[in-house]
Amino acid sequence: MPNWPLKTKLSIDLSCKGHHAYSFPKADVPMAPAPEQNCRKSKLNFPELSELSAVRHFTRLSQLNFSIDAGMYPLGSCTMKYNPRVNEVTASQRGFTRLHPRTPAKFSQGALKLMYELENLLGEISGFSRVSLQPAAGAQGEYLGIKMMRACLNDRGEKRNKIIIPESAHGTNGASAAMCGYDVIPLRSNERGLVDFQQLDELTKSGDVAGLMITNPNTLGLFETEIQKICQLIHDRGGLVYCDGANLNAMMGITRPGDAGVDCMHFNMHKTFTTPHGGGGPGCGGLGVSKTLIPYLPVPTVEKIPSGDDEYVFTENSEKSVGKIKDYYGHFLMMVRAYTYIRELGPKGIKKVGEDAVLLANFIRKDLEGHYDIPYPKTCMHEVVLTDKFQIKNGVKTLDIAKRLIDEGFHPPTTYFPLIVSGALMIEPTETESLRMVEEFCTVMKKIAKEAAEENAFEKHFKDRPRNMPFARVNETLAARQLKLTWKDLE
Amino acid sequence: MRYLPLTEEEKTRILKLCGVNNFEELTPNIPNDLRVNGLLNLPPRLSEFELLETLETMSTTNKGAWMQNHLGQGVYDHTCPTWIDQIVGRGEFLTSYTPYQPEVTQGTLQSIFEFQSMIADLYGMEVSNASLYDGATSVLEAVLMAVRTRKNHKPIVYVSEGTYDNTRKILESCLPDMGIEVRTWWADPQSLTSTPESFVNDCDGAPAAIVLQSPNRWGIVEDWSDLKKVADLQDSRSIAYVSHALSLGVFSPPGESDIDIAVGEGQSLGIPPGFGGPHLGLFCCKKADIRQMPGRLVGATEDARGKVAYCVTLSTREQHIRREKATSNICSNQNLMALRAAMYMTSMGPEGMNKIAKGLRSRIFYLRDALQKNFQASGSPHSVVQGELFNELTVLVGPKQSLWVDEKITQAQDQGILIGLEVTVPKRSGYIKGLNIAVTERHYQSHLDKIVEILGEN
Amino acid sequence: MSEIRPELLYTKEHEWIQKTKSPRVFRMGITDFAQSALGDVTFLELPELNQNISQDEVIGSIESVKSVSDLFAPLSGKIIKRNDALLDDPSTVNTSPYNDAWLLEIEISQESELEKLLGPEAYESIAQ
Repeated sequence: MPNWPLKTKLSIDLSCKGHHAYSFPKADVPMAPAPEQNCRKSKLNFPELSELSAVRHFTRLSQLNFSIDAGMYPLGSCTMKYNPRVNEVTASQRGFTRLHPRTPAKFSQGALKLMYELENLLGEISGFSRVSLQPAAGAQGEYLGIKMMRACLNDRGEKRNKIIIPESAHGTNGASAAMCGYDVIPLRSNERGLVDFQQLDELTKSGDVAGLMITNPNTLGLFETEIQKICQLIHDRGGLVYCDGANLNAMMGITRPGDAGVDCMHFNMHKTFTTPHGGGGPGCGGLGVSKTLIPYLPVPTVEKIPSGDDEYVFTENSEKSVGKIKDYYGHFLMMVRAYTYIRELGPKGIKKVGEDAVLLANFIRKDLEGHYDIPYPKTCMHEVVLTDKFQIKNGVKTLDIAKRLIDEGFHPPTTYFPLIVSGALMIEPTETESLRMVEEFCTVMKKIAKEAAEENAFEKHFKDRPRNMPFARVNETLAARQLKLTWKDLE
Repeated sequence: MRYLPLTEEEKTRILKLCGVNNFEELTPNIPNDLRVNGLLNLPPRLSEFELLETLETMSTTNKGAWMQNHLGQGVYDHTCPTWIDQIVGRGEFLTSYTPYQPEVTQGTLQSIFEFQSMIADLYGMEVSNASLYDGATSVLEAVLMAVRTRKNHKPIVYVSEGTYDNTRKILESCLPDMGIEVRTWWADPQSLTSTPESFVNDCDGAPAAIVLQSPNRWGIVEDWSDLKKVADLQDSRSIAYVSHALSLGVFSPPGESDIDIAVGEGQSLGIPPGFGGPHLGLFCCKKADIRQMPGRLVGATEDARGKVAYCVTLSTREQHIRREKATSNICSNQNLMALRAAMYMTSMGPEGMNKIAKGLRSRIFYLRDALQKNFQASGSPHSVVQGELFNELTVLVGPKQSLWVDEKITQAQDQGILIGLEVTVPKRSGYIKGLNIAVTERHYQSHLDKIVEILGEN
Repeated sequence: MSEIRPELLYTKEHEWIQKTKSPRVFRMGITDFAQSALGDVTFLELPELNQNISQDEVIGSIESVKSVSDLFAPLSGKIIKRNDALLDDPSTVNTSPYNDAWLLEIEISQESELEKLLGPEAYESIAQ
């Protein structure tokens, strides 16, 4: 982030009357008279900027962001890995960007082929029989998965109204289940940080449980070692198993959720398959399903014509389909990026992704041992959870450690999540970081632990962090108490 | 491998540090019978050169992207200033996470604040969120919000007949899970618009919400004040679905008719068709309802030194805090698309928004008049929709002409033109189907004349 | 260490209850421990006047920037007063949880329910 003073005026405050940055073809037909009724009355309060002013404004804004391209971003559960530049090049090809979704199949064969092949690649990686690419993001994948489970159970004549979700899960799981009309039943973790099998057994005896939403590896970075037994139990009790695929990165090429007996799992293309996070989206979901759920897939699906010579079509012929959850086929341009990534890596690369992600997280686990409390110290997959237990005794909290890291040029880890660990700091280095960079991160973390142990630590080292950034601590309370949501509210 | 820098030596070092001999020992929780044996069955890796060749071949096979394109129904091949592609492509925007740490994400936060400001202004509404997936799912979220805020009404939504098929299908797949029923606000068979007179309340009570789409799926601009009238009959929530954001450059926005919830598709604001996505869902409402609004919101505040700063606010509505009681399960916004839209609107300014809208409307009226003249002169059984239009029209196909649309579509394709899309029309209008044709600023008079030549009868 | 007042009764949901001068009318609020755990309060959702409530039912919520807590009815009865000033300035909950930031007054319908409430010592054991 540059050190020179940055102007952060709003674009509207940079406005100069009569300036503009557009250039579109003028209509060469006679101008139609203005509409007789229904005319816009209010004048738009938009900025008027020349192209340079607009470019400069947004360039300056961009410079106020921390990004993967600028530094290590060890946000646990977010998989902030490198987003390859070549993805951006392939996804900006005219044949993809300017293709209308209703273009007849004979003029969009390349796009159909890409979707068909991506579905197969993802199926092979995850061990599922089929994949729907329709979900716009992971959350919609969850929603679709639960919806398909519900359709399947309805089909069996079962009216079940509960979904079991571990307390360590992402908040989305509960929200998605609720959107399908289910009641959420929380499930405890055991002392090893894994699903409490006994409680699961108890909870499912009632016969009204539609299924389990499990995250594997879970949000503590631990692989659910009893996953097969868990799936078996749920199936024996007439339910189905959903897996939150947020942490698929840790398993790639190593183990496949489909093989463990899971019925469906969403993909987060922006985590596992390097589509850009983009400051919050767009995502790209995808949902892998077992044979049981295939009849309920949303329409349309892409099929290869059996007799054809590499020819593809969309089909809507599915009696039991849950219908549509998203316009058209999903976030196609994100699919192009994910496809590019998988083809670049090949089978060896995919396996190395999973292994290296796990190796680097374990390096952090061992290297920070003794400096920070590690509630589940024996093993971890692609991420490791620390706490502020040692530091808080001296008045330094997780939030302070996070903001202190910013001044050292690192983005903070995920904080206070999972909720079942008090003062959690969840660290995920990802496989694209070099060991050298990870070592530097650990060195800084150890330095901070040392600072936190000093006398008067908070005042000396942690108060008013970040201190070296263009912005100091932002007052989020004020924002919530006095809502200002548009520039009109600032007048 | 260029993205995977860990060497064999470093790997050995880490294993040693962890006190194990191999990767399997490092991951004891994974049962051995679940481990992938060897390598996955994936195609071999490609070098960057090969990758570019492969993807370029796939891209160029999509011939539709090079044809004269009149496909519409919510997605349009508009132009976009090239600087936007380049600045959106800056790594600081592309590779930043959701702005939960406001001190280091002011760029994303301020751009969302500007986006919210301009969308609220465009819609004439008090507040806009930071965006949802697309127009269709925004309608879905709007209905859920409406039902939440009308608990004593019937969980029924009336949707105008002129709403896109896809949007309708999504509502019909998703709303019944929440116990909400979808019914139709029929269109007047002559004008093909939904009016207070054509509204029939057959639900034995007060419906929670009424949805009206404009421009509708036949291309006709509807009247938001009619929506307001119908909703006010029984204190239902009014939901305006603006199918084409640029139309608000000339037409009255929902806010001018005091609509409760106004949503829409923002694809026309600088976002390419992209074979269906990602696009941009827009969502506005009144301040009084803000706690029931779905999706992310950014607010202005200050930093510890008193400098104006921005942060995500009212997060307590969202899934990561309120979990199963959240207003929606959505975690993302369409941030890069919202950023594109903010840049696009900044490029256009008030003048540009008005100019481009006028230009589109002029093109469609030119096409309508030309087609109409031709049909009338030749005594054709077909006609063209009447009333106010924006950038789309529908040719209404006369009786016993069921093959006409297919024939014309094929005929146009042979000349390198994607002439339009078949749409259904109400049987009671006296026509059997429609051919929907869209225009954009890429089209000159000569393109439009070509359409008349293909569709006209000589 | 958060303040616990000896003259009040408590619930395990970190609410306090105080007898008022009028018979059968009790005033309630959230404890110092609760406000400190929540952080800066930004919004309150309180039940309507005259609303009938039953013990342990969710009757509203209190929000801070990054958390939200349900408000439970400590006793069954009817809401007869509501501290509307808090809706405009929720920060009072942080600055004066036991005085200015009383939330509601309830005219109770079942006196026997009072036995289920906690005394200051019992509450102290859970408020840490």
